[in-house]
Amino acid sequence: MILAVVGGKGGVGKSTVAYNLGAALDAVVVDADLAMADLPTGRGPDLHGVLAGRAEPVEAVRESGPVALLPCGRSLAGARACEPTALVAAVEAVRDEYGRVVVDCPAGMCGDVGLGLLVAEACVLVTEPAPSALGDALRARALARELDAGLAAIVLNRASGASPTDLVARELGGPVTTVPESTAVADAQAAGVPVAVHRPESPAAAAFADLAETVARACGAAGSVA
Amino acid sequence: MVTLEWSCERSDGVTLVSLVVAADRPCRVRVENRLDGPVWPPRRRGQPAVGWDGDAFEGTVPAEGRLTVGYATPARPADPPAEVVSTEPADEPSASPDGRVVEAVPAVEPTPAGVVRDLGDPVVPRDGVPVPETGAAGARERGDDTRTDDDTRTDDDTRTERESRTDEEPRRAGTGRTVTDAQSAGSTPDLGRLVVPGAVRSWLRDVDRRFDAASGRTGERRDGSGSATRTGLGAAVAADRRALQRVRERIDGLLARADGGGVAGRTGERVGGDGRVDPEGPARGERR
Repeated sequence: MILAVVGGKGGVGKSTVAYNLGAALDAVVVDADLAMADLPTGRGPDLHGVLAGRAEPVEAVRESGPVALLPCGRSLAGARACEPTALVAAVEAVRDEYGRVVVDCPAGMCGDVGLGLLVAEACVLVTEPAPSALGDALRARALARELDAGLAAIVLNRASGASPTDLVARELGGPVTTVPESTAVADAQAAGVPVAVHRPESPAAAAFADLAETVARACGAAGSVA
Repeated sequence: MVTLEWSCERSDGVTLVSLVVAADRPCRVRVENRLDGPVWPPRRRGQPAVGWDGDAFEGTVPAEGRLTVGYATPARPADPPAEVVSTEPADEPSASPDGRVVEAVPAVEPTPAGVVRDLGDPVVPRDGVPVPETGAAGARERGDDTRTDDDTRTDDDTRTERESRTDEEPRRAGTGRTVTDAQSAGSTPDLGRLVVPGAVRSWLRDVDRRFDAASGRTGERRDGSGSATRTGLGAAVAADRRALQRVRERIDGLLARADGGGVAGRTGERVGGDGRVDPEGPARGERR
């Protein structure tokens, strides 16, 4: 199963959702933001190296942390040397080895978002209850439809009780999971661990578990239909 | 009936080829370059425009219309610069009638190259990465003086790898072309030349040029600064040597299969075609 996490707008929490969803699904999280990577990296081969043909996708996966990661690399020269279209084969190679992959797509509507959606069977749309974020989410949704990545779930991040959940579900056309604004998420990110590890009793941890179930159900159904 | 009109214009070492394909009914055509050099197709965001596949372009001639194709090549003009190698009737004269507009999202072709073509190349622009020029050879050769780790590589590396990767596809296309040539052998007297795929020829020519440039560079260094820094060109030449060795092994294997019998007819011809490259490739590899 390959899942793309998209959102259109930057800063809505795509990487946080991708990381926590990866933890809940026991998936490898691929940081596909080729120019401005978010997820932590370290020494060793990374996605830049993979897309430049210098490393095998599977050997670039880091299993040392609580979530298996394929980090991107942060140097401009590394980003420059990439062949972005190679992302598709790289993600598929990781899927063949590990089974489940969550692709953390960058903001915007550029080629790297499209490549993440192209290789994915389904996508998770992350947005916030703000007009600018919802507008971008609509465009990301349309792009996902164009590239045949079915919508597995919508995450309304930093939501409150007053958030227009029904409106979002209707306009974007999918099941909505709300993740409340909480210090548990921020603390867990700062500590570099999933919320489910850092604060298992928090509402945010429950929301991510919920989301993982929704996604697994959606992808399982799609799989059985195919 | 399909007709092809052409014009070639050459300036500064580049030939611009303009083709007009006309037909009396809608049809799908495949046009292949016949000039002795690599095709530089028009590109959108770094990817060859829709319809281009290696040395060939595929497109549809509309009803009562004409299909225009243009490309550049370093090869010298010749007549004809290209040929229509296949024609099939187009079933739907007015294909894709859906004028459906999706909110602010362009129609995206669901292939990796199509995605980048339609949405844009996410890679940092060349100007965003400071790479100093070294030597008089200019843009083709960039040094790695400022690069300190294995994380980076030179444009020459990139080029070499891209070429060897794209080699795979033209190889398949080349097989098809060989069959086409065989079918139309009567009208193609110079069959031997065309059997070696254009991609292979242009690759070998590029390798040759890099070797020439490298030998020139070495001389320069000896006369001048004397510094023996590893240049991007040096890395490219090393990569070329590895690639040549690998190709030689592959060709030896194929030749052994061809000689071992059990390979006949069309397949044998294809293997023979590849074999023609053999004397050229390794010989140049061993020269250094």
